[in-house]
Amino acid sequence: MHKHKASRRQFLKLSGAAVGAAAFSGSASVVFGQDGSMYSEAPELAELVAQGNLPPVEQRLPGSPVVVEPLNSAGEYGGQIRTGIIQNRGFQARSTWGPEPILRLARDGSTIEPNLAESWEYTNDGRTFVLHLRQGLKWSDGEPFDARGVDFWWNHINLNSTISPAPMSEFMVEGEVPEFEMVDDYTVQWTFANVHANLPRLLAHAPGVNIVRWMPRHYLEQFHEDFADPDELQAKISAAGFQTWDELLNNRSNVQYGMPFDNPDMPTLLPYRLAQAMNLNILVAERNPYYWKVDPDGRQLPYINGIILTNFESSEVRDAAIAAGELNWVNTDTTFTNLPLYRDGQERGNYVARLWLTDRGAEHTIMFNHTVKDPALREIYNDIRFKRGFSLALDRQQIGNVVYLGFAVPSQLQMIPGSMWRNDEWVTKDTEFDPDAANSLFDEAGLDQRDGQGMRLRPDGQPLILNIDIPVDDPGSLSVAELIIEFMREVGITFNVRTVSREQVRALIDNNDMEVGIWIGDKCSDSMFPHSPEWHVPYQPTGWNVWGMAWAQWYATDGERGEEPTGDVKRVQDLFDEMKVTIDEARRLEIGEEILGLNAEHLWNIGDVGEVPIPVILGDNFMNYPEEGFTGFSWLGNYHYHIEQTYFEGGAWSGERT
Amino acid sequence: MLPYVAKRSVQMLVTVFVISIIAFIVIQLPPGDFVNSYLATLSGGQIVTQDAVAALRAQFGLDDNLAVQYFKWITNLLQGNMGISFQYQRTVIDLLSERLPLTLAITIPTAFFVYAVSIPIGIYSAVRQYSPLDYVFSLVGFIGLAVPNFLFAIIMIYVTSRYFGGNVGGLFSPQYELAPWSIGKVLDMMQNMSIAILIIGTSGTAATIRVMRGMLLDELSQAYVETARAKGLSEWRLIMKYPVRVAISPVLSTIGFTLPALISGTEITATVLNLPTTGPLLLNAVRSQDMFLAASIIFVLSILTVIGTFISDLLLVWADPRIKL
Amino acid sequence: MTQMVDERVANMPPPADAAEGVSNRIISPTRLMWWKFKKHKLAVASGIFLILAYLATIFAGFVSPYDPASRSNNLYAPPQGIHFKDAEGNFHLQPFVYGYEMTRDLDTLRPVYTTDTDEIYPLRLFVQGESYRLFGLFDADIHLFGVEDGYVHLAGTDDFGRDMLSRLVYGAQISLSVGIISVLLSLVLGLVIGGISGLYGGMIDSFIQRVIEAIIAIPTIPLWLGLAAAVPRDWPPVYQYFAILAVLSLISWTSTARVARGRFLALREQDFVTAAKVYGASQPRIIRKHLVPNLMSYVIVTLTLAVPNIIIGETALSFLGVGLKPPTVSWGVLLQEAQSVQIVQFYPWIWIGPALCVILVVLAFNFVGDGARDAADPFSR
Repeated sequence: MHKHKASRRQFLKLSGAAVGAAAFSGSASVVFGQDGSMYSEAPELAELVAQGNLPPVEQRLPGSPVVVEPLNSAGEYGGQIRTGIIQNRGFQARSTWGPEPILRLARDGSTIEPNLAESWEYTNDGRTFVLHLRQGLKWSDGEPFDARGVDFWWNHINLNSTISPAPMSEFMVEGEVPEFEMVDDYTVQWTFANVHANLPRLLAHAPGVNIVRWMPRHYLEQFHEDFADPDELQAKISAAGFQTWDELLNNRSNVQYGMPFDNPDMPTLLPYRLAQAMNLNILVAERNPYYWKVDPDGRQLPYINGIILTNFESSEVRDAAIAAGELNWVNTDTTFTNLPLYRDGQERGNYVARLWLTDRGAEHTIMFNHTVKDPALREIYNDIRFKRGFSLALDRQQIGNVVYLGFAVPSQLQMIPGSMWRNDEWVTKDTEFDPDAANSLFDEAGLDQRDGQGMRLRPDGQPLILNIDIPVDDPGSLSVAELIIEFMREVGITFNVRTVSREQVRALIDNNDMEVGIWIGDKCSDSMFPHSPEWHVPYQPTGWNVWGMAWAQWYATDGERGEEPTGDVKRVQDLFDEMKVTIDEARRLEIGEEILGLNAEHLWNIGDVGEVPIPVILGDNFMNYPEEGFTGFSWLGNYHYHIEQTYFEGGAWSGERT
Repeated sequence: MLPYVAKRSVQMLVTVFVISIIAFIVIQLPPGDFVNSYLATLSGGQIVTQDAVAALRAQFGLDDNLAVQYFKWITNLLQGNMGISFQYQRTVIDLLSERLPLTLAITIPTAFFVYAVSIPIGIYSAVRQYSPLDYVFSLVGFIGLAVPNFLFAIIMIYVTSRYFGGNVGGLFSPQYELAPWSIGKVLDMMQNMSIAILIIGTSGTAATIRVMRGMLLDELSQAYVETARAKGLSEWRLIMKYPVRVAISPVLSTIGFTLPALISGTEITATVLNLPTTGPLLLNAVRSQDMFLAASIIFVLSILTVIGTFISDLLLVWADPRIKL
Repeated sequence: MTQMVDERVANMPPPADAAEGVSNRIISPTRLMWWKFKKHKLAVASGIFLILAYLATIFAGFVSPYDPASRSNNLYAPPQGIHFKDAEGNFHLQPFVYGYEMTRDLDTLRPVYTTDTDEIYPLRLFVQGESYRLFGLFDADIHLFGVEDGYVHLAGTDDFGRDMLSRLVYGAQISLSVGIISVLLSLVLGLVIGGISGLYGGMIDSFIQRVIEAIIAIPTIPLWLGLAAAVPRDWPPVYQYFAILAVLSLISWTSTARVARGRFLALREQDFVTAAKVYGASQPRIIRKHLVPNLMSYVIVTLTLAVPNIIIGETALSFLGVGLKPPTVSWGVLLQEAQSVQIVQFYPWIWIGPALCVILVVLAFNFVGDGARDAADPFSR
């Protein structure tokens, strides 16, 4: 019924590729001559082959390697990517090594394409999801990749309670663990309690990257209780200083967005493999000789030789290193407010700071906890007149001028430009600056009593204080909040900023002790919203949604904790439930529209400004990366732009020092 | 002397044991536990169910009560096993053996630098009180104290990279990062290290100069100095023989804290040289409640502290024979 | 003080200095000290500076031209120069500042200022401006100086376009008061506990020293984080901050105690202490009258060192979310905001202002301390 080899748009593109015009689509299979004479490789690898230390390129590549169409031009081999992370947070480097999920996002950022799996389909009325793996792929140690690896992950990792505290929730439907079957060496399937409509999207995102960690079965078995010889395993555990086998296994297989981080022996499918684990804060990755993608000329990718990743102990020093021209590829954790610094150093530092957009519907969402414990506050926060008043009292133009270098537009928290759910009317609703209207809305909402200093009182006569808790390590939110203090004073409301450590924020949210919260309004993209509508539906008590904490707890614990929502909040939860089991694109569009429309109506989130770009630092001869693009968690950075087909014109970065 | 050393050794053992208990309690003071902070670091979109949260707690042993957790940790520790770090998925010993030698390699020269510079300057400033150089040292010292180390580090990094072609952070400049050892690489490393020692050393130096100067001024006005001078002792020997030995007492009293302080507070080293030192490791461990890692570092620090104070007491007696312990 | 002079006299070889000792007794020691202090020109100047600084904090609203939180549209404006001569070379009796216009560099989006020599804003004394509350009691709107129309930012503005000079003046209110109280608290604790430890020695000393080791070894960060969660979040930020500093001083007395103890271990063997004991002087009296004066230099040095430490310490506290919060300003907060490459590179006045304030105040404290030390020392030349 739901036979679904790929989405329709995807299918059109694939047919296009078959006649040799894969102009924009990222990857498609093209069959080359059987003799392999069409393939070539980097000079460094050719040398190894000549020395007899590496099999020839055609033996390393699969029978029909994936062909990646370069963005602008065919590349040159050579050069090093120099990038930096801050305080060992490996995820900042995620798209440097070009994660290779089971499925992937096309360059448009939302279409799903084949990757490690060449196709997928729904059978059994949609309840069974079948995945066909690509044949002939090899791990970086030359061993084959096939369905036995998936079986290892599912049966010996995911369902092993020692190593996985609980089965992965992304693979559960209606709270139930599916039935897994390895159909043949290249086919696996799961049968769920109901249709798992979001699974392809999840397989093209973080879950689709994370599970591959557990698939190099041939390597990992030696650390696994189910396979290893007990005495040998115990010897290995003791030698490494651990107590139990799961500690050893976790340590040996540690990866950061697909890249082995500590152990160079750990096999990978990425364009790069670990050459030197982090030592003196420098990590080095080199070309994976078994990488399974080629350019249209049959040259094995990646073009660039390797990656030198520096861990910076502070973001300020990382920014200074950018400005001094020591890095040629940074696109996460840069801040727009630092643009003057980045641009000033461009010429001296042989790099350019391009401006890309993010997945933030609004830079920040300000959330009143509608389930706050104080009943008087709860009544106020649930009153739409109060929230509209609050929104109208924000001078968003000022926020843009002061905090965002005059480069932002007023915006509620809706989908980003280009999204199929973007609705300009909802984006701009109640974003005009109108303190008079705000004042009369507050008066109507019963906040018309004032104290001696003209500040508004609650209907019960207590002073009205909006207490907002902000993590200290989020200076952007603090700046906006500082301005809001002033805007609120103008309309007679005390806005009280309290800073807390990030760890404490978590505890506050868990106990439903946060009254007002502010967070970066990310994940507002077509690739995230259908499965992770964090801001628009209260469903995840372990997330950062503050406006419906008790309702999210109720949803996540099946009514065990929290409070049962009613009315439109219940409605968005039900709609989300429907989204999870709906494959039909037209219906999914309607569901999303209704969720976002209800959000616009109730102002559960109040956005500040949108379309604030993020500086992307690239060496000035770094080629095949778009001038304008998107980067953010929705694309695990920006892996959809294919790091493996980028190159340095002339074979090395122009800013390389000698 | 020997009975005293024996007595102190027993006391030291008891103290370390008591500290390990207190430390274990103190690191649990902040609200929440490692699972909380683990969830806080997860980038969004990763769905974690309540069951998974509970199972994570069980996996990390966080559902045991504090006494049980402590007992597990200390018995393992006595067998030479410090447990594993939750966030790094590595053994604590592994992490420490990577960072501790490096930290010591930076901090010990720094400590020597601080004393080697500040004690002579302190003596000079006291002997030549209100001389132009005394004022210069005071001014420079107080500038060092009044500008936060981190800001000072940023300023130095900016100035050296912009105007002297130095590199930003790191032990090596980019061109030497992957190069084999050579004279150029060693010189490059020494240049980068000297900037760091200068930054780290500044505030400690200023403080020691002030203390040394103040105490020595007191001593110099004592009657016995006049007497000695009257007896015709040369000025240099006169000053070095008694007043300096007495005046150095505050420096000696706190010398034992130097090492632990440098080890736990080396974030500036880490920042400037971009080196993985123990300071940020402890800070992170404590903030994310990575229990065994935090407790183990504190354990190491407490051992250094008690040994340090012991040495400092011995030095006090050596410097001022009037002292009887 | 008399006592101290006596001790010293008793310790002295008789012939050479006896005459001086006798002559000193003719005037009272307090007057003698004041007399000596006055001779110390730098100390007197520093004392006057400190008195002025404290007056400025008391009358912060009057001294500063603007409210520390009020914003102008001039973001990151550099300090204005004070001029007497205008662009045409005419001399003005009244000093004035030029107006300027902010534009953004189209490539870097950085604010760029062009001085407009046609806009002349004369500086006036006692001008009417933004209203403020004096001592939390009276409303007033007269400022020490300012301009009648236009704007004056003698120390520049920050990222929000707030007047740096006003922020520095208001920042002094907290930096010169709250922190210094906790410095004193920890000093007293350190002297008393260290004094007891050094004076008694033996078991008591051992016990106190082990306690000190334990306190030193316990990391402060989890303690702060725990405290931050324990302090009632509805308290005003300054109260929260003070509560945390008070607890901090319960920890930070340890090095003072070690030093005091080291000195006292030596001093207690001295004849004058034994004598005092024999005459039945009480322990607190011995500490206060006999031992502390011998530590005067150390006390003064510690105090002068603690002042910058506590001001800068705020920086570390706010990093953990337990420091002062906006809109409260202090020099520590200002220095904290200044810790970025961008500010060091483009907007140096933002860090130089607060750093200069801290340096001046610390130097002043130091010179006053030096003067006081010399004055208190009966044998200084």
